[in-house]
Amino acid sequence: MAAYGRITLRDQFTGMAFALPFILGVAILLIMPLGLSLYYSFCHYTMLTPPIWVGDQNYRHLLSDHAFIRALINTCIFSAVSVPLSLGWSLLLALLLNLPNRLRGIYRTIVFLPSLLPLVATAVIWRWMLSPVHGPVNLLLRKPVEFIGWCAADVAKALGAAPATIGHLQNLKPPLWLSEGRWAMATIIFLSLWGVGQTVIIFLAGLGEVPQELYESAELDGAGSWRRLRHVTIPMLTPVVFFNLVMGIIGSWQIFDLPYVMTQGGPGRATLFYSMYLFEAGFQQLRMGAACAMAWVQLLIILSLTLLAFWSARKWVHYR
Amino acid sequence: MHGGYSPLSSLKWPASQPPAGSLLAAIRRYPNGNDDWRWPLAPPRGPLPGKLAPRCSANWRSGRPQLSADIELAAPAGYISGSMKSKWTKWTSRVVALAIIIPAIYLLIFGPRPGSYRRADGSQIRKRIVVSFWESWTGFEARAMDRVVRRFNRSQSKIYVRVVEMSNPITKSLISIAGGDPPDIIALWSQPMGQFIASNALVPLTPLINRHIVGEHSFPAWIWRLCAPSGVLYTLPATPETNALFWNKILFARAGLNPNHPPRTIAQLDAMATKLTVYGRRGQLKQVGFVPNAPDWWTGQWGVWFGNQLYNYRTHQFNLDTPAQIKAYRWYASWPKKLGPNRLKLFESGFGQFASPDNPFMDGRVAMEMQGTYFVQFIQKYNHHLIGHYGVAPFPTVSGCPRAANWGDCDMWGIPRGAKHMKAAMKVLAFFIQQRNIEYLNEKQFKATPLMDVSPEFFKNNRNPFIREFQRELTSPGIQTNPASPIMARVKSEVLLAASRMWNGKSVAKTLRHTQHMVDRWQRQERGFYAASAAGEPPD
Repeated sequence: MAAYGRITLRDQFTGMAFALPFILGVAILLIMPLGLSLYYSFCHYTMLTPPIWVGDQNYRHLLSDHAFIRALINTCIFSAVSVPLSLGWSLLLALLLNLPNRLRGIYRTIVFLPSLLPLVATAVIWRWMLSPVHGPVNLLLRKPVEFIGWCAADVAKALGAAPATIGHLQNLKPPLWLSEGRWAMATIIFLSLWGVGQTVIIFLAGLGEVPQELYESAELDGAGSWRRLRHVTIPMLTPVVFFNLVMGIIGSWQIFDLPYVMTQGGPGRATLFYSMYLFEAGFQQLRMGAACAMAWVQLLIILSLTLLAFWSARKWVHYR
Repeated sequence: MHGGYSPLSSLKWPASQPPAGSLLAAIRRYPNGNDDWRWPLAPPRGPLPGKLAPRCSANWRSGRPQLSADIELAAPAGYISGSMKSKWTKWTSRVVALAIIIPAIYLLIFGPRPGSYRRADGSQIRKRIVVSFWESWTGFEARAMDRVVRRFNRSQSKIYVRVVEMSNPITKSLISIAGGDPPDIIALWSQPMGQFIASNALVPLTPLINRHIVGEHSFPAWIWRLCAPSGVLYTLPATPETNALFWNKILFARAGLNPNHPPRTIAQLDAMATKLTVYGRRGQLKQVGFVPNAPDWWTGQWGVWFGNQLYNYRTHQFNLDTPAQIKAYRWYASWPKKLGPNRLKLFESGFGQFASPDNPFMDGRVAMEMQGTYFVQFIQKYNHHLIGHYGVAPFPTVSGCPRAANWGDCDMWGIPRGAKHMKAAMKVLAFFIQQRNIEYLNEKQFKATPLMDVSPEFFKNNRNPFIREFQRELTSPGIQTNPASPIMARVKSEVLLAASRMWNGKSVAKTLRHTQHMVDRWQRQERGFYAASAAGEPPD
């Protein structure tokens, strides 16, 4: 055993030789671009002319850039709503798909299938589905919404509501999903739930890891289905929830393709997200310095949120 | 490995030790928590199920592991033995390697070489300089350009132009220039010109002027200003376009209007549009006379027809909140109020693609539209029933505004900085701009020629029945176009946002003031950036 304890120079070279491709890859493809982007974030840089050092101007201008503030707010809203929603929805689906059933495999495949579709294709299909005139969603919704509107108008009339309110209710129509600001954001959030297949699979794997003996002892103690879920399944799943939470936060701050194809940030700037504005600034307006500054701010935000999640994990994540 | 089964976890390695310095020795020192020599990531825990008689051998002398080839396991029936598995792996890896190596060798020997491309007729282009040309047209417009390129390729034997059609060529061109590998000729238009010039991304075409191929008087003044914003020629005009009012004579007649009398003023346009608007039984819009958002390509330019000069070339300032501009956008924002915002949104959401029979003008849902020269060809393609039943006239202006007011733009050709075959590209451009070729291109695209000299054949051969009107419009003194400002893309984006806000009911004057304020600040910032540069002069 003692002969194996000493590391010779040749060993070191061998080890280095094996590690070198990775070290070079990280240095050239990760550290160098990171360093350059940090430098450019302090420059006026159009990609075509040499960068001009401007100090912290790019960062200061971000604070007075209305489009940037709008993109920041939109992304915060999207992240705050879509991450918990998609976690809850995925967990619910995973619990349902974990129930013993002969067709379980088929159901799991159906849930996972949308994740296999390219997001651009999904966006194009949904844009057609949600078209107010020709889209099947509004065709299906039109009659029920009109019926509800008429009923509500009758109730409002009986209650002595203003004629304008009654008229509004009588003309109730399905939403213009992508043409109205508030609905456009809601639609994008809803569509982000479309591709939860991967999260569901991770939850299913987590559910499979919950020891049966815990369920058995809970049953012996008289726990019903709900209490078993509340006190056994969910605590045992918290590491998986935590993983999905961190990935969800990172993903939500990087959302790009879905709104880019569906709304291009509109109407107005209602669905302009952080990464979209970063792309616009860098590659369409040629403000690569400002885009680099935005990228660093984005990195700091994601890092802070992830650290916050890790800090809070000590209180609610239970590792075996 | 808890309770699991893995053939590797049962291996007993020979007592002989691997030589120091070998990979196996390196692996051996991996702290896997076991005293025995094992795979570091698969520590065995307890006896394994089944009767396994591990026999293994490893070639220590070679210093290489060869584990997969040397391991042999006597496994239970039905289990694929290590040797079978290793043979399988060996053959698979050989097949995969061959599948990569053989095509690579083939490509190396027979693959494409720089300067040798196959023509459409299959013949090889050898010993010719290949000029790459990135163009943005598709469909019939691209075919017209291809014909001109073929003419050039046939005309001589030294240069061969290779056309690459692409969408969004501006972003791609900029990235290729930044990356140091641009094409030799690029297509561009007015909006990004400022960025290109400020970034020194285009090569001046001064040799073409020196050789008297083109000059300031070759083109209408606004086209010359577009191609040579600072007096230096950077681009050559390809296909210019101006706008006009297209009206549907059938719908005019149906509404009791004289189909041969289009509106001449904005007030007349409004009155006629009201008469041409048709509501359905449930109050929904079935047809509208006019709506400024169909299409929404000129949302930022409505001020032109109200007498606003969008850019002051003397002070280099954008005029976005002048009284004329405010008047224009009050008119613009009045449309959703007149027709009902939600009703109009619902109506507009049913519009099909521009280049399709579902285009709202072509399928009779919009009676009047502002469109460009090219629209004639699209009508012929997508709704030939409309031929002879629509008219083209100058777009109405507000009383007091010069009748000649119009918005113009032009597709252009330029040579990007870093182009590998600059001289050859210059020769190609000199060929393209020859009267015969530029007229041919525009004739096939149903557009007016950018040259001041127009041959009688151009009018004779052009199948656009309104070509004389469009050609006359091109030389009108009231044409405005995008200025060559490096912040033009941002300005356009901000103006579109402002228009969208005003459309949705925000105060016109306040929104335009805010936009003007933003744009002024960007201009100051941009000048500040350039002032910070040692050599830099403000690009404006």
